Amino acid sequence: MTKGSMKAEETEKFVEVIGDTVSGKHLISTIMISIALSLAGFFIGKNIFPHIAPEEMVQSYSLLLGIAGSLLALLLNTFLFKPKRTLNEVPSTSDEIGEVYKKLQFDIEEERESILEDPVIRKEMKEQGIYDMFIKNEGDKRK
Amino acid sequence: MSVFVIAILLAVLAGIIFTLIGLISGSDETAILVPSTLIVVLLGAPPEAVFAFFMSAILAKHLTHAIPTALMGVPGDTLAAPMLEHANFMRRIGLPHIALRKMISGGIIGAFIALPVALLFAVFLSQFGTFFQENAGIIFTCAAILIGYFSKGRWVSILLIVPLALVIQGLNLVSSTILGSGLSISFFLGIAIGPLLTDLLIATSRSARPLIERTKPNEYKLAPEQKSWSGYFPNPFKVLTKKQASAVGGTSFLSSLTFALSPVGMTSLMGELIGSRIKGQYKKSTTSLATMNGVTESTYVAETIIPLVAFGIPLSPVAIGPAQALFNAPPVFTTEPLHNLHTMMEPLDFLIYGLIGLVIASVIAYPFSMNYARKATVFVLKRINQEAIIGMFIGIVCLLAFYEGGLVGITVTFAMAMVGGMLNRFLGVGVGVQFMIFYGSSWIISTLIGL
Repeated sequence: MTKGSMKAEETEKFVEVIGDTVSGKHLISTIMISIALSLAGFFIGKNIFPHIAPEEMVQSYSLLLGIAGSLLALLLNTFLFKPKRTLNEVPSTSDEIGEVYKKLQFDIEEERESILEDPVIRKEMKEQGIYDMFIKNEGDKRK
Repeated sequence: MSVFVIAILLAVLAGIIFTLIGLISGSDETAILVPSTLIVVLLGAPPEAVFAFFMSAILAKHLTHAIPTALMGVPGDTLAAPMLEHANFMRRIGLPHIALRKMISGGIIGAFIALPVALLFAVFLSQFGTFFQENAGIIFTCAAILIGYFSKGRWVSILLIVPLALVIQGLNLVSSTILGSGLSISFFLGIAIGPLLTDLLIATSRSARPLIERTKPNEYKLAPEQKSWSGYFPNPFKVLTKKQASAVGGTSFLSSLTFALSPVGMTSLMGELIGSRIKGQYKKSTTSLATMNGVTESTYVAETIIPLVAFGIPLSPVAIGPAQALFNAPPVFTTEPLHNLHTMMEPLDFLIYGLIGLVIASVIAYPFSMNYARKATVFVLKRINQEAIIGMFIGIVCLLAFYEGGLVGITVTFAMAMVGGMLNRFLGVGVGVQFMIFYGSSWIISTLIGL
């Protein structure tokens, strides 16, 4: 694989690979490390196992050692690089339910009606402690 | 060690590994399940144990794929995509944990319904098995046309069947000339990692790179858990209301009888069917989510078991995708001549070892997702980098291709991935169509131009 992208990476640029952002340089390293360790495991197995294992198992055992190499690479790469994502843990979702409903174009009144009509759902909501969110305070719990 | 013990051990292993993999959002089923199953097969596990491993893997993965879907609004995998809308609603009103519990409980019920239903149906269908096996080439070709028509690309998928078959047969001719025997694992690994490789190729191309370039890292939002629950192993029938449980039961039963339709399609269809009759958004969303995750399980189980037990050749979207290695993992399992789980196991074995897989996965993944969903998600997001995961896949794929055909194998895998991935990414020729073409290619080429 060519690495013609080196120049383009000035400071902080990311590429999106199967749905998540990664750094190009780090990705090249992780792939290299992983391929190297996987195949190294396989080759070491091919050289060692003929002496200690029955002949028909040599291929399988070598494969297993290769897989161990891949896992080792995963561990190593996890320690070497940091994930490029940000995690936003909203401290409290006291989102006003009515407003959310309005935004999503649902009818909060119809919702309340359907909850009041259905004893099973009413019970479930009470057990989960969310009944008041919907019914009592016009959806506006503590801010 | 007896087969029974190996089956249990492998099922435990699959349960643990795939419970963790499910947490990683966007982890593609085919790209992960095919190599892992192959490893188990090639290491010489008995067929019963391979089957238990696979069943445990799919149940565990589909239980935990609900976690990123519900908590972060990112689909856990392609099958979770139809559930996003309802999951997002639940997240917006601050109840992602309830959405999650409904989904997981639906999933577990769906899987246990699907196993016996699909098995009975498969036994019924097996009288037509010989017909399907004798005409496999033409059936795969028709399936390629049909799946192609329903794929994103539609006409281009159909138009490219013959050219792509020629490319595959050409590669096959080159590799078998060098090696003396044909390759197979290398081809379908190539098809499976096509989309991943395409992203990597784009990243290395100066002209294409802006397509996937981002200036800041992805942001994930994770709502806090509002109320945790007591007890370790919850009863799924108590988490769902009676109506929800019966909706899950009914749709899982129905979808267990379909084996030729896309699981994603079935999931949205059944969710829509149930959801559209319900008034009140909370009820609608929770019921739809439980139903849909139930259907993702049942279609997966059914689409694996029916072709496997009835025909022995991969004739369903799941069988040509994630379950691939149960049908074809040369030199251990082959479809031509037919020598795989179909010939090596009796229907009763499928029931017993399927149950072992499902029970073990439930014991591991279900309480885990119910109790530790949030903590686990935070851990994965904060600690495990995407680069390491991608690196590991590429490493494993290279290893397996090398195992099958040395450097030729690796080259064939990347050639196949390059062609398949580009077709998928830019023209919408889905992975399923490509697998069908791969299986039909020798018939297509020998019939059309003679080989």
